[in-house]
Amino acid sequence: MSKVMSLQDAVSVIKDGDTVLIGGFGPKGYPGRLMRALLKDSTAKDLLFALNAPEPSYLPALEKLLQTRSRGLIATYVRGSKGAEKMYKENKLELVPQGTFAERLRAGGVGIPAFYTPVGIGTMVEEGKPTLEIDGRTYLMEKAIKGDVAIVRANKVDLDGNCYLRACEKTFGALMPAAAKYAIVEAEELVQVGEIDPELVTIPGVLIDAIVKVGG
Amino acid sequence: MIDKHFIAKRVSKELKDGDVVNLGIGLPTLVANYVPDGIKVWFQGENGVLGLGPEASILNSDWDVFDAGGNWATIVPGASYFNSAESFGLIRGGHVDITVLGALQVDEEGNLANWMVPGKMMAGFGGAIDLVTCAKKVIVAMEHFGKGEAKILKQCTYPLTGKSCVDLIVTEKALIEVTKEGLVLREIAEGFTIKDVQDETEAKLIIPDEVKTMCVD
Repeated sequence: MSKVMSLQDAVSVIKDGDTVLIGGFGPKGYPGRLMRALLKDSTAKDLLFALNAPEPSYLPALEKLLQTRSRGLIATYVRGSKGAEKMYKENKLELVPQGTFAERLRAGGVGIPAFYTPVGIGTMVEEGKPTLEIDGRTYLMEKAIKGDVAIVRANKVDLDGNCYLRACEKTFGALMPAAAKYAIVEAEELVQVGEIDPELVTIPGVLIDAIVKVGG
Repeated sequence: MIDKHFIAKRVSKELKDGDVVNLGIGLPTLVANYVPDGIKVWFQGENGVLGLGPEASILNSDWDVFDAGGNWATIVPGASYFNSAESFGLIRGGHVDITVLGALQVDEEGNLANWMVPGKMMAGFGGAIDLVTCAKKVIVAMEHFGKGEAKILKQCTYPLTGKSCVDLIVTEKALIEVTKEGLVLREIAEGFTIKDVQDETEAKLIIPDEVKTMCVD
């Protein structure tokens, strides 16, 4: 069965209450077309979004979703986002150190329910979390993040879903498909199976459920 | 206006051949312009790149290459790319030798606050907490005194980025080492006295027998 589908069909899998993982960092790697489709072609509400940073200039649709159809936001950096500010005021913003965010996603994808890290000891990050002393140093427990749906962007994807994320586009998008029950990728370039050098496959196709080819 | 380049130049003298270095946004990025002759260091972007080169302009840049501040960048020969889990694996794993970042407040225990001013909308942590907790050496590069308030304090009052994490404070007026005993004034910039520096520092500075002149050339 082909994994290739329309934007509308792809976002139709997102249901009320779902946790949605969104790839991207800085100026690149955002699944902007899928986010726009989620805003316009879906009515799913009470969504929990997890991404590095809700950048209003790159993800304007997410700003609106945070204002109207979101039950929470997990992020590492939120400057400039009115949507994040709303979540913060409603006590629905979970701020996470960036490396902990990455590792929680990685853990979510590889069957590790929680792990111990020194990051955040002695700061607000520690509040409410179990700690453990190992070889004389104190660590805190961080739980894996798992999503219902991951939506990411790739430089190139083949018909089996093998994704190539180029250079600094990898960031969190490379980690999210494994951490979600259902993963959607958008890419401008859709190629035949075998056309992506196996050495360059960032995300194995078995982790991708839906492929959307988008325009430039 | 303070001379940010003076601060960056002094910080750059702390770099050693082969160091893996992560520079924070703003003033710290200037350090990359002043790597001492004869040594090679690796600049890491926590967004998944080791071997960052000079910034690029939007016109001649590869749009998939940027630094952690989101600025278009270049890479040097020998550079590598990886995802964020691997990138922070380098950091958490103790493979980053030096991180340089700005501060809102730093105190005599080496505590650092740089992510939130209470009462204002927070910016967030980004990778700062990870970096100051796990880099081998943490250098704060900042203006000595800010907006009518001392920034080098007995005790930070803003929410912390890291506890007892700062090793060195470099400002336009002084270079201060954080020790178990407290803050030791190691160097003073030309034209300032020990009293000048102490007057703009809330924490009591420890004055050793020799206080050198800050030299950046």
